[in-house]
Amino acid sequence: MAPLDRLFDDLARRDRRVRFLSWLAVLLPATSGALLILSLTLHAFGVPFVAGPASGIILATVAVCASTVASAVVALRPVNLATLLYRLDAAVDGEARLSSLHEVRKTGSSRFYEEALTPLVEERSSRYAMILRLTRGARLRVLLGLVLVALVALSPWIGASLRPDRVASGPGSEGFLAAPPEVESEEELDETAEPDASEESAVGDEAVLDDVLENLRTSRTNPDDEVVEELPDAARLEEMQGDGPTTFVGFLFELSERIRNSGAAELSAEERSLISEILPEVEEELAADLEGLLNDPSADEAQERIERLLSADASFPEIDADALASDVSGNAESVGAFDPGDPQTPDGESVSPSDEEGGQGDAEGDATSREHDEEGIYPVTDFDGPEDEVPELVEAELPTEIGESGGVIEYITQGVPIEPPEGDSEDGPAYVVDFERMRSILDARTISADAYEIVQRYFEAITQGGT
Amino acid sequence: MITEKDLQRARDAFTRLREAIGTVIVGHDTVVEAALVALLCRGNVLLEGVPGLGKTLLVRALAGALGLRFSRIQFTPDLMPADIIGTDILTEEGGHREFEFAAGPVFANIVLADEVNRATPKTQSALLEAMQERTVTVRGHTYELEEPYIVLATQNPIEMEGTYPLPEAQVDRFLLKAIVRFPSIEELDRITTRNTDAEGMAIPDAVASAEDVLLARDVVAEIPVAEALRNYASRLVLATHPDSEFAPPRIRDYVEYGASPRAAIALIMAAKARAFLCGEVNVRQEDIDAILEPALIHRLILNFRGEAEGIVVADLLEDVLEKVTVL
Repeated sequence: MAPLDRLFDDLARRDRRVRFLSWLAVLLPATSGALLILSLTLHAFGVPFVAGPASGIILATVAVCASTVASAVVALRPVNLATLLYRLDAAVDGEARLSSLHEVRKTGSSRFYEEALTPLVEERSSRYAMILRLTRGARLRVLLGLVLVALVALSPWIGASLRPDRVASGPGSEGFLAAPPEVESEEELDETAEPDASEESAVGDEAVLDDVLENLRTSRTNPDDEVVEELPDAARLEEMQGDGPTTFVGFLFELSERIRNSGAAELSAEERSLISEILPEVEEELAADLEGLLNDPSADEAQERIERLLSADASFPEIDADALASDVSGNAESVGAFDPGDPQTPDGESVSPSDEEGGQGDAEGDATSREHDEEGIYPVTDFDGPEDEVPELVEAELPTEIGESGGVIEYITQGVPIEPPEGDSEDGPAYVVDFERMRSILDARTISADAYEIVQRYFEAITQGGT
Repeated sequence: MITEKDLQRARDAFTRLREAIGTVIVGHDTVVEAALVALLCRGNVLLEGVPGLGKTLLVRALAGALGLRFSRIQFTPDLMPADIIGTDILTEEGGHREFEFAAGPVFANIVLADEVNRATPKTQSALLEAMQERTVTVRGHTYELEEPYIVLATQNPIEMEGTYPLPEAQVDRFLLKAIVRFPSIEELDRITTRNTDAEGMAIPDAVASAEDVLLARDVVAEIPVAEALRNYASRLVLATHPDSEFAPPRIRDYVEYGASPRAAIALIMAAKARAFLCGEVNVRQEDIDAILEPALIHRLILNFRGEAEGIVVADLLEDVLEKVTVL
C-alpha cells in the first residue's frame, strides 16, 4: 500500500475511533448517570439496589450497551472521506491540499497535480493526525462517565452505609436487612415481640412468606453476608444446628448455650470426665481454660473461658460422638431439660424433658405425652432417637372436631416454638407464636442480626402478626 | 499530460501579461482578473460601467499584450447581424461569378462588443454562436473561430434610454460579469499622470502568445477541485433559487429565477483559473468565494418586488456566502 493510501486509511480509522469515543463520551455518562439516579431513587424508597456480582453484570451491561450504540452510530453514519479530509484541510491551513490530492488520486485526472500535491501533503501529515483527537470536553465526559460507573458500582455499599439505624425501629417496620431491637427487659421484650394491631396489616403486606424465605435463602447463600462472617466456620454452624454435638467444639457450644440459659456453670460428671479426657491432649494455653471450667467457675467466667477456647481456632482432639450425645442428654436431665428454646427452664418451672426412652419410641406417643403437659407447651428439644426413626413431623391430635369427620390430626415440626392450637377460639384453632421462646432459640443459635430478623418476620408472617 | 515546465511557462506568461496590462490600466484589479480568468476558461466577460472608465482600453491592452487579433464592434440600434459575423458577397473573377465570404469583426481573437445593449436582440443574438460554440454559420456554412477567442462586451448601466437589455439566454453565455467601478483618488491621479505626459498612453507590446494561452488553459483544466468544494459550489448555486432549502431569506423574497447549472460550471472553472493566477495547484474555498459574485451576479433575475425595492444582486450573493458553508 502506498504511503498516501496508508495516510488516508489511518485518518479514516482515527476518525472512526474519535467518533466512537465521542459518542461513548455522551452515552456512558448518560447511562451510568441514569443508573446512579435510579439506584439512589430506589434507596430513597427503601428498595435496596443490587449488590455483588449482579451490580457487576449491570455495569458490564451498561458499558456494553453504550459501546454497542456508539459502534452502531459510527457504523450507520459512515464518514465521507472527502468531507473528512477537507475538514482536516480547513483545520490545518484552509488550502484544501489533502482533499484535492485525494480527489486527484481517486479520479486519476492529473498525474502532474498528484505529484505536485504529494510533497505538500506529506510535510503536513503529522498535523492532520494531530487534529483527529478527542476534544477536552469529550475527554472530560469520558472521565465523568467512568466516575459515574464507579459510583454506580459503589452505590450498593454507599446505600448500605446510608441506611437508617437498625436498632431504631421495631419489628415489622424496618427494612429486611434491619437488625432486631435490643431488648432490655421482659416488658420491653413483650412489647417488641408481639406486634400490635396497627402493625399487623404492615406485616401482612410486607412480610409475605415467600419474600421472607427468599431473603433468608439469599442471606444464607451470600458469601458476604454477616451470617457467615459471624460464625467461626460452617462446621460449627452444623454443630449448632445438628441433633447433637459430634466434636469437642460442638460440645463447647452446647455447654455455652446451657450456661447462658441456666445461669449456672456447674458441670455434670460426664462433662467433667470428657474435659478431663481432652485436657492432656490440648495445648497449654487451652488447657488452662479447660481446667478453669472444672473448677466450678461462675457463669460469666465460664462463658469467657469457653469464648477463648472457641476463638483460639485450635483443633481439638476427636471425641466419641456417642459419648458426647449421651453426655449432653444426661446433663440436660441433671440440670433440668436443657432447652435453648424454653425460657422457663432457668426457673425450673418448665416441663420435664422428654425422656430418652420416649424420644426413641414412636413419635405419636411422644407427642401425646407432650400434649398432656401441664403447661400445654410443646418442649422444643432436639429429637434424640435413632436417625432412621426420627420423624420430621410430630403427629398431634387437636382438641377439636370438624363435622362428622372426627378429630383433627395436626403434624407439627419439632423445634418450632409455637403454642398448641387453642380449641376454644371462635375462629377455630389458631397458633400463637411464643416470641420469647423464639427469641431465646435465636439467641442460642448465634445467628446474625439479619437472619434473626428474617426468622422473626417469618413467624410473624405465618401467624399473621402473632394472633 | 502537462509537466512542471508547462506549468511554469504558463505562469510566467500570465505574470507578464498582468504586468503589461498594469502599465496601462490603473486599478481595476478585479476586472483585469476577470478578463484573464475568462481567457483561461474559454469564457466571455460582460463589463458593466459608465463611459470613460477604461473598459475599452483594458480590452485593447489585453489584446496588445497577447499579440492577438483584436476587433471592436460598436453596437448601435441599426447594427445588423451581418455587420458582426460577415456575409457572402458576389465576386467576379475571369468572368466567373461566385459568392465569397467576407468575415465580420467577430472573426478575431479578442472581440470588444462595445455597448452591446444598444443593438437589437436580433443583432445581439448573432454573437451567441460565436460566444458559445466558437463558430459562425453563414448561409449554411459554418466557420471556426480562431483560438484563443474571447468576447468582452460592455454596457452602460445608467443610460438605459433606447437600449435593449440582453436576453437571459445571452447573458448566461458570459462566464463572468465584471463591474467597472470608478477609480479612487490615488488611481485617478495616476491615470491623469499617465495620460497627460509627453509620451501619452501606449498599448503594450506582446508579452505572451496564443500558444501560451492555450497551454495555460490545459494547465488550468487539470487543476483538482476537492469533492467538498465541488459540493460547496453546487450548494452556492442552489442557494440562489428561492425555493431551495439553502436559500437565505432575501433570496426567497426578491429573486424570481436563480442561477443555471451553467453557473455552477462557470464557478468551478473560474475558481480553477483564479487558483492558477494565484500560483496554487488546487482550488481553495477562497477561490470559489472570490469568484462567486462575478460568476453569478448576472444570472439572478429579481422579481418585481426586488426590482421595485432596488435590491442589489451583489448583496444577495453576500447573503448566500454567509448562509452556505463547505461542511
